[in-house]
Amino acid sequence: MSSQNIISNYSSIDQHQVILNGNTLPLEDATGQSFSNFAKSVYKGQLSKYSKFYKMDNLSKLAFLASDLLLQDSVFTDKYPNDKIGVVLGNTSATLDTDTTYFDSVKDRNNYFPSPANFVYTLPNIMIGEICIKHKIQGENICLVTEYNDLEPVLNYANLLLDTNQCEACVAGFVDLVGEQYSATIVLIEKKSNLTENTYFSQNQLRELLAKRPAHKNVY
Amino acid sequence: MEDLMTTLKGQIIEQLNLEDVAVADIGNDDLLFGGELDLDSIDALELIVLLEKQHGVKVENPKEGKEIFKSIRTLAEFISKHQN
Repeated sequence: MSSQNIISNYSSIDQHQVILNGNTLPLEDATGQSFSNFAKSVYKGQLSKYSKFYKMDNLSKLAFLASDLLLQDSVFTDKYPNDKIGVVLGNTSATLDTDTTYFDSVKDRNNYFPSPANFVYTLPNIMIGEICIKHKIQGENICLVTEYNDLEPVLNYANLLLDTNQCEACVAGFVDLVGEQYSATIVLIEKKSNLTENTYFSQNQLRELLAKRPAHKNVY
Repeated sequence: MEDLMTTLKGQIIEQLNLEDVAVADIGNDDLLFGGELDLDSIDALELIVLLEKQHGVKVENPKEGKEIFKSIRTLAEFISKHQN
């Protein structure tokens, strides 16, 4: 793994808590709220208006929120060519949450009304698509579905893209959601040589931070 | 016809997750596609499902879709015509 690649910014959303570069965002008390309502309040309170947000399934909403907190000011995306920014995400549950919703719409032959809007979210890489559409990112992308909630393969793949010059920077992370259990961590990975600021996180620092979080585990 | 158009507006808002839109925001003759509602191709498919599920009418000829889905009024006229 290259030591030349560093994490310039990161966000995480977990159990109604939003962390941006190590700082917990002050949000209204969301105790007892559903993920849908929590996501709506974070979107309305922290992000600029985007008409497609409400059409997304919950997994894509989670990925969108965690990434948009980092990308909405365009500083990162303006720094690199669109086709040199990669997106590497991973999760353990793929789209099980929406698969279940979709299945419910087709399981009764006498009440058979499959929803196209649900169907389009039955592939986990759609959450990457939502991020790319919003921020006009056109570089390499992949969604890794792994057995464990582990950021390591995601970071490894993102490092590979940077080290082989297929990308100059990467949006990477782990986004998992089933029902009311969810966890998202998104990082911006850049080459150290491209940064002028001294404020960044080593990948080991991030691993240590994530390891301390009790919710950093499989959502099941 | 007025009642049907109001009903349709509510159903569309719910079915298409138009969270920031109220029934009063949608004019009977406003363009559904290419207008302020910013509907897309997936929304068009959802509208086809909505017509069948909520009103029992099918869009048999896809070529007619553009005219049927032009506005709330054209949708209501299509439903009225095919329910009878």
